[in-house]
Amino acid sequence: MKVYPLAVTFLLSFTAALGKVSELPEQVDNFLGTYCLDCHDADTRKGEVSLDLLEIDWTDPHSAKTWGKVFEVLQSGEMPPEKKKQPSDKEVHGISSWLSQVLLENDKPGGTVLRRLGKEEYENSVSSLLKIPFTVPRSFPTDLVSHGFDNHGEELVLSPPLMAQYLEIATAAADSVLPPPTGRRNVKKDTVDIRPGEFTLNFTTGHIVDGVLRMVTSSDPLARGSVWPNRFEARTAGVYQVKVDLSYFKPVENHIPEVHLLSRRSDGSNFARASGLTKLAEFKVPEAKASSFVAEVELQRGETIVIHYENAPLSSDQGKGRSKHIGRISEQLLDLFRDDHELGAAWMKAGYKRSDRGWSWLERIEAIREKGGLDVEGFDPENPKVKKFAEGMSRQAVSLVETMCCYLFEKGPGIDVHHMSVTGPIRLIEDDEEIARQKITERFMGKRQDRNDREYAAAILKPLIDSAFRRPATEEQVEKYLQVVLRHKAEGHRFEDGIHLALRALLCSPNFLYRGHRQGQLDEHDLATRLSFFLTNCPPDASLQKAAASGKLSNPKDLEFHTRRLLKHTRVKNFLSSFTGQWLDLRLLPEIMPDSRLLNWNEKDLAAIITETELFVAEILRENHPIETFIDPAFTYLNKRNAKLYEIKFPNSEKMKRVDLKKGGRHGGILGQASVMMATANGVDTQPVLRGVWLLENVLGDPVPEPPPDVPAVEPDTMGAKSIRELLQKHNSDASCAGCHKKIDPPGFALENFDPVGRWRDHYPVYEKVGDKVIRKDGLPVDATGTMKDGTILNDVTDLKRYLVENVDIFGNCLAEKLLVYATGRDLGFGDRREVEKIVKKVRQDGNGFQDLIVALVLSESFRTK
Amino acid sequence: MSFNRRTFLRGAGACIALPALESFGLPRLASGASTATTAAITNAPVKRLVTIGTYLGFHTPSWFPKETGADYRISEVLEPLEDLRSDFSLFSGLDHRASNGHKNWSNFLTGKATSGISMDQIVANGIGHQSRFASLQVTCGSGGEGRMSFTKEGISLPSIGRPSVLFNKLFSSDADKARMDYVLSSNRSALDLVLDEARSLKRQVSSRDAEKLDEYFSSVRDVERKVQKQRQWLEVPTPKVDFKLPDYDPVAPDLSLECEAIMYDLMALALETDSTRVLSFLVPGQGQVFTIDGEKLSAGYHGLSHHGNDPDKIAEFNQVGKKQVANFGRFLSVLNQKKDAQGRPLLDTTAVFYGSGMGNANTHNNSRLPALLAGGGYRHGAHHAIDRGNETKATPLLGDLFLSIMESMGVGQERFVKASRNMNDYLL
Repeated sequence: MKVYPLAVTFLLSFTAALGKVSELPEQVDNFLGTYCLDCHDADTRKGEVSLDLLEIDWTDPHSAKTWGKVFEVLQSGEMPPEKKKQPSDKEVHGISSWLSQVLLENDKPGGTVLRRLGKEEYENSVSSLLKIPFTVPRSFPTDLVSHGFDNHGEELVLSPPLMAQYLEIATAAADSVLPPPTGRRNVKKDTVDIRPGEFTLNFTTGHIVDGVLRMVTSSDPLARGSVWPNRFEARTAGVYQVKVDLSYFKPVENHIPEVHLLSRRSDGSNFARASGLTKLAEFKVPEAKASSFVAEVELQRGETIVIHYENAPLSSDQGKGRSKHIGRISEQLLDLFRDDHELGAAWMKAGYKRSDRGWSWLERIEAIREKGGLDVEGFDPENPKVKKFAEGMSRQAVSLVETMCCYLFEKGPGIDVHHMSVTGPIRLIEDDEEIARQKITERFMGKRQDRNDREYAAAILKPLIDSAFRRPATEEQVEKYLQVVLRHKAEGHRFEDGIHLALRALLCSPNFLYRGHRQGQLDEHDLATRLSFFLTNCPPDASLQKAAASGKLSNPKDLEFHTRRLLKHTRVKNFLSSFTGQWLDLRLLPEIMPDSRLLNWNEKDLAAIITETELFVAEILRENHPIETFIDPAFTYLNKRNAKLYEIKFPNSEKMKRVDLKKGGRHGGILGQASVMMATANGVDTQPVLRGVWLLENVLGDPVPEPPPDVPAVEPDTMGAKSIRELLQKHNSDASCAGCHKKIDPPGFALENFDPVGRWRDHYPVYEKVGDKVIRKDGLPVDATGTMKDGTILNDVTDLKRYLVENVDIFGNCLAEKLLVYATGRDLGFGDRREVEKIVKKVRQDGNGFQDLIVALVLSESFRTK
Repeated sequence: MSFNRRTFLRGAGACIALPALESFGLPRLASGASTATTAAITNAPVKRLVTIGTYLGFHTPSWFPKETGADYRISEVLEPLEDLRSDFSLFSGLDHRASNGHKNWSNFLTGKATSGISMDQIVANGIGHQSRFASLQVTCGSGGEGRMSFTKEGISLPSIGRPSVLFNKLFSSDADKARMDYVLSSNRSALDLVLDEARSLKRQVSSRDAEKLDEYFSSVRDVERKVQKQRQWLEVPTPKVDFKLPDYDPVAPDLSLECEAIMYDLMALALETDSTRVLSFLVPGQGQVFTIDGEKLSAGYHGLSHHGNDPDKIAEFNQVGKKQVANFGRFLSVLNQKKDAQGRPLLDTTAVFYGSGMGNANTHNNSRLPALLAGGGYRHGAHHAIDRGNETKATPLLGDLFLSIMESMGVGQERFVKASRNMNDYLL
């Protein structure tokens, strides 16, 4: 846009005199009257917009927004609408120049309101302040999302329940560095006898036979492979003597059972893994006759003793990759068949029925064996048919392993637990938690040396307050905390209690909970804080604090240095997951469950598509790739799961690998990755309107307003009789819909070749029920064509990619605005947006690196103004 | 199951030094509730609410009676409740018309898949201020995956799974109370200090930021009021009860039926001592292998719930369900024996809602839920089958039952998610 300063000088001098009000000059008034007021007068107020004014009152917060929008729609030619009388270019220039000037005057960069710490920021702040790991309890409220992000100043509301949480957490956090004095319970030595029936059994972890508890599997999750006494837990941390009577059931050659005793919190998760628990003792059990095994073991309060048959041949654990898993389990089944041909023959006759699991499956097989008439002679476990059968069975891994357990409970090998007794505590040991706590307290309090209370309290609190306030506290501020400590002691409490109380206050202080108090340009400390939370979600580290304290951070060179330093820091992962997770809506993905008719979907598939995008964005940042890479990259990250979605040949591996892509193709980039395609659909079908709206908001930077409340959503016809395009065309014949849909539909339709999980398709699916099965067939062909508002014709997504690479500033502006909104926690005003435009252009000329864009934004007036 | 019945009976007939909390009246700083609401709550016929959900649900063909009306023949799973049938109503065909699936169990009390406030918490927000604990959430052991009670912010409330922890919370020792009193009283000076800081901050900031800070001021003041109320309750002596906990916490998953029985006893005590008026109990279900009447079942509980219509598995699944129902029946009997401050049976003024967010565990279906309403002085004794054959707008939803319950507790609502009518015709 060009500005014609001479033409508007007289107008400006006029408005300047009036300060907060700009009177509309005659040309502007005429322009509005001729081209706008037909629809946007005070009565019609089309789109809730009225321009029927004599002057602009800038004290009204809506003015900047409304007139900023007027400027934009005039620039883009969106208004006046095609069918109405069109102004000449010169007329548009005239009003635009004037608007631009008054908007720059009155809608300057800045304007973030006081920002409360978001949930993660708060967690990281408490943790870094007290140097302890800290996460909020589950009852902690989540923050609201505005403009796509949960760190927007306006939306970071403080409510009474949240304040109550802050106070409760403050007490708990103070307790964790300064625990209240407690006496240790005196627990008498005692012997607990545990009979075979008094162990916790889950699924087929054990079975009571002839008065003993038999175990046959080494599966790792406790609920699948371990037992523990159900009525014993250590009542105090101490050494206990444990005696277990064990025997080897049906010994086989070359196998001597090893039994491990492990410790576990008695109310811990049932699906914790045996391999992750502390080993207390291990025994070899070579004899078929019961012998006693004795060990002295250390238990913490609340812990119990787990028995795990460490080297049992049977296990349901995953090998690497599902096929290995299946291979492993089917091999175990084949081993059973090799020993017992009749079982094999009976099992093959029985096959698998839906409810088969554990004993009921085995009983069905044994009944077939009983009946006789099986061709045992002809059964050959090495026959490929048998192998195939075993593999087929292994797809029911859980049921199959349970059934094999049941078989082994009779057939062996296994171990028998006859009795267990625990005596103790023989002697007390130091409580692990207590030791750790003492260390934390010592570090927190430091040494008193020969200082008096006031000096000692100041030594503890001053650095703490500075760090909590993220700037050096004033003497007056510190004094108030010291007074709290001293007064509390004077009232008869301990010195430590005074510190505890001051700490409770500090964690509820508005200077801690809010950031950005000062107006105008950020000072050194606020700058350090904004930068640090932007790129790491954490308060400023020591190096940033130092730079701020020395007054050098605001120096562009230093600021750039620290920005690039943080971009290399491991904590930048917080930025990547938080910004990308919200910008690209990856956070929605766990909520979406794809239709089972489309494909089988599990957590690992989900992890694969999310990781792909995370690694992709991380590389662009790390390598300072040009931002075009987001749109049309020459690489992506795959494992076998997402590779399968993209129909790309890939080794059978779960490991994510960087893979070269051909530019200009269908897949890759944010317009082709399964994560984005899935996040913009609902798991069942695609809706081009929703994807179009999403693209306008997150990629094209041209968000459309909410549809009028009385318009029903266009619902896809799942019977496949009508294409979505036909349905939409009807909808768009209404002129009031057409305005926005001209923008929404073309990019939205360009993504139609991607199904709800990001697979390429040329036809919509239709489902037919044949017997019990549902079969997918090709329905109507996908039509992904469209015409962008500048006339660019799109045949499919590859054309949309080319369009965006050719007009990369469109995407650049959108990305830069998103970054700036995320960093500053405010809506961008006219001034902010003009600055973004300048930065995007400049960065493009310098190679368009993603890191460079972030650095340029940090250096901008917008970032550096509250 | 080796849970000692004597322990239970001793608890049930416990001698209790009960401070007359109901006569203590509403604490002066009760709440921001309007006088009209408070009057409605005070005059409401039902004073207490218990909601109970079993995570894996029941084999519903063995739960729902075949006949409807008052003369129904008791079903297999409900058999332990035969003697109590005049104390409850059964409903079949109710649900929230919400989506199905593994993760949707939690719509049991919230009415929708995406989390919102649960019915028990709406009631707690209305009447919670009348007792020491606005509400309590209980489960057995680690509790597994289930979530039942949600705040209006959609946050699931954590449950207490150890009987000893619940007991100590209800009947806390003097030492615990002294510590709490110390923390609460000293918090005052912490809050004074931060308010002072906020005032000086307010002088420095822009007018828009000053508005933002007003949120801070009003929140801190609200917390101050809450602290004051908590201290008032500390002055009221905790009731002394003669209840002997077993010397271990039955948190092992295979003991959850035993844990369940103790939790019911403690819940009855909590109601009797008026420690709380809103209780929610999630009866968990995992892979544990139960021992029933001395016999280990053939498969884990979760495995049995996926019975695949195998009659043997259904029979065992029902054995567990029947034990759960028996535990529940004893709870109802105890509430019938215990008296409130006015000498009425506790059950008459306590609405007890029992059911599951699982309609059919075999297929993970969350529709046509088991639903039973006991106590509360409602008209009871019948099995009401809701006709789902020809659904109209008048076909009741589970939410309509909730609306009736809430209304009788003095916290009437216009709507509950998709429900906007009520089921008073069935109950009054």
